[in-house]
Amino acid sequence: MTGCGQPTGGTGSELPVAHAKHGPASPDLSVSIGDLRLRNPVMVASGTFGFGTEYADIVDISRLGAIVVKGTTLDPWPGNPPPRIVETPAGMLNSIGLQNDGVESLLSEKLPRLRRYGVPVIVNVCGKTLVEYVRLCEILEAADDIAAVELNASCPNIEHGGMSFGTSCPEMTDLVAACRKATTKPLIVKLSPNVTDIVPIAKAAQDAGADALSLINTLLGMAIDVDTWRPRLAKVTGGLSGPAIRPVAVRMVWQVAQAMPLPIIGIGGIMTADDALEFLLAGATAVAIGTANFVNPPASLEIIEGIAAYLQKRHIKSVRDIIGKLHV
Amino acid sequence: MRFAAPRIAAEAQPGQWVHVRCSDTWDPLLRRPLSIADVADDRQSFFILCRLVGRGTEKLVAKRPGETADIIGPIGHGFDLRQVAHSTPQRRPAVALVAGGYGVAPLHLLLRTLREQAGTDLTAAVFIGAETAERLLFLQRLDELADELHTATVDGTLGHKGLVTEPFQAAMSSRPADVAFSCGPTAMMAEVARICTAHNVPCQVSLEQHMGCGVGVCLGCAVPIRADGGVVYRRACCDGPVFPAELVAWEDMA
Repeated sequence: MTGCGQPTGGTGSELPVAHAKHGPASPDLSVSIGDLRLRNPVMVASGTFGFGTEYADIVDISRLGAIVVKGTTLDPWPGNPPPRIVETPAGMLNSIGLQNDGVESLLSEKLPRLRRYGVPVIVNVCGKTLVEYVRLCEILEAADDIAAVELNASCPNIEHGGMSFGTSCPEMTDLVAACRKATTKPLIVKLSPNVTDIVPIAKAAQDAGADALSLINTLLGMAIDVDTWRPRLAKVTGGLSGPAIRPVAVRMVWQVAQAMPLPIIGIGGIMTADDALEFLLAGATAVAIGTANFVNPPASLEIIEGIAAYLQKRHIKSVRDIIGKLHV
Repeated sequence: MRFAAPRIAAEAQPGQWVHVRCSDTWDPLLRRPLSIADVADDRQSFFILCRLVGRGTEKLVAKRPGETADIIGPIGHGFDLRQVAHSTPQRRPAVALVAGGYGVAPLHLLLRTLREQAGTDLTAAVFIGAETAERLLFLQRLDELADELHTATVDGTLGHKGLVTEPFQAAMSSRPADVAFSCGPTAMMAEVARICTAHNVPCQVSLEQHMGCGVGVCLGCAVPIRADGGVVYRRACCDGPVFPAELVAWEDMA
């Protein structure tokens, strides 16, 4: 498989920082998300990398910063009718509907296969009710090899739960507070961009005990077949992802990073190292790669290498030295 | 189009497909799924039939000899050839292949493989349909491989005027095949499945669905499959693309 056509790494910009006293040592890529330490800031986003092992034949998954596994619910969910995806300009709409085999299958079948790769595993959880989220947190609390829990308060493709928790401050407060009581693991809350102002929602999550925020999930969108006069997705609307949404995601990361100290995992259309660097400069501590995995399976590894090359070229010792260093 | 790819060509089974990155930018974004239509005799390269449907395939066919392409494959569960051998231990098995448009691609490799395995110990009837004569692909090669070749065009420019399922139904009524294979538009395959069920003939269909990742993680390519008295969603990409026709919940196929 060949690499992407897009250049990664440095672009010859005149911006800082040059203080290397010695030769080109490998830059330190490690970051911390609360108590969660990552060897590098590049994760793969929930729903775009399965349970990790599906890609193991073509990607060295042991090099990833972390794997966020497919959204998991208490009981198996069947998912939405097809068509579930449609390509749009520089992006795609999906309405999968969180099809998954439930948390028991995750713990008994899927996680054991992932264990030998030694990658931190973050489990994305979703429920129809607050009680389901809490129960999931309680179940996962007992699993030693789960590094963190990510609350999916942002899925746009289910009728109850998901995004409804992530678009109202009181509901966000209740959800995060209840889950905080149910788990001692790092608690990440994945936010929806489908709000007028993301800052109050992010603050609600922070004040209720979140350790970190993932942003953003997909943007609610829609595409129509003008020949048939029908929507292109069976469920009419879906979540937009891919490079098309990246500027929106960068903006939201920046807004939230300005407003509060909580670590942010930046997500949204990251295809190259330069894309990831935008998020880091805007204030994200780490990034998660989503749709790019479909297009270019080694994208996340290329991005890790690209970030390292970028830092090395500028004699920056640690990736932590660029987080939130946007000049405005 | 032919791609030099020894590993894919060596492993390719009839009904499997490849996921091709057509663009080197992000627009169009997604890979395009294409059936493996043939494999070179030396197993160093494979062939696809590429239908021009939009910007992705336009970019792909614009590639010139010597250029490279980013391809994942071979992917998926192809046709189950064992069903042919098991169908009739008493005499030469008779297979029917029903193709619509570009659906001929995987059926061509299937027929070639069946012929290589069984030689003349196999009777093959091919039914191929398209809108118009010039969209009937692989005709000469199929004619060489098949014992019977039935063509149908909607505009009547070659063969039966109408749908390919019509001559297929007529043939099945007079002399049912032991096993049928089909690939083409969903409505055509649903009708083939109905005819086969009526004649109690097992049928394998290669389903098409919008594809995202192609490796089984995105669950975008769900197809409705009957299981345990209900319908579940399976992945066309890696659980299929070939399924037993009687398991497909045709009324739920998009």
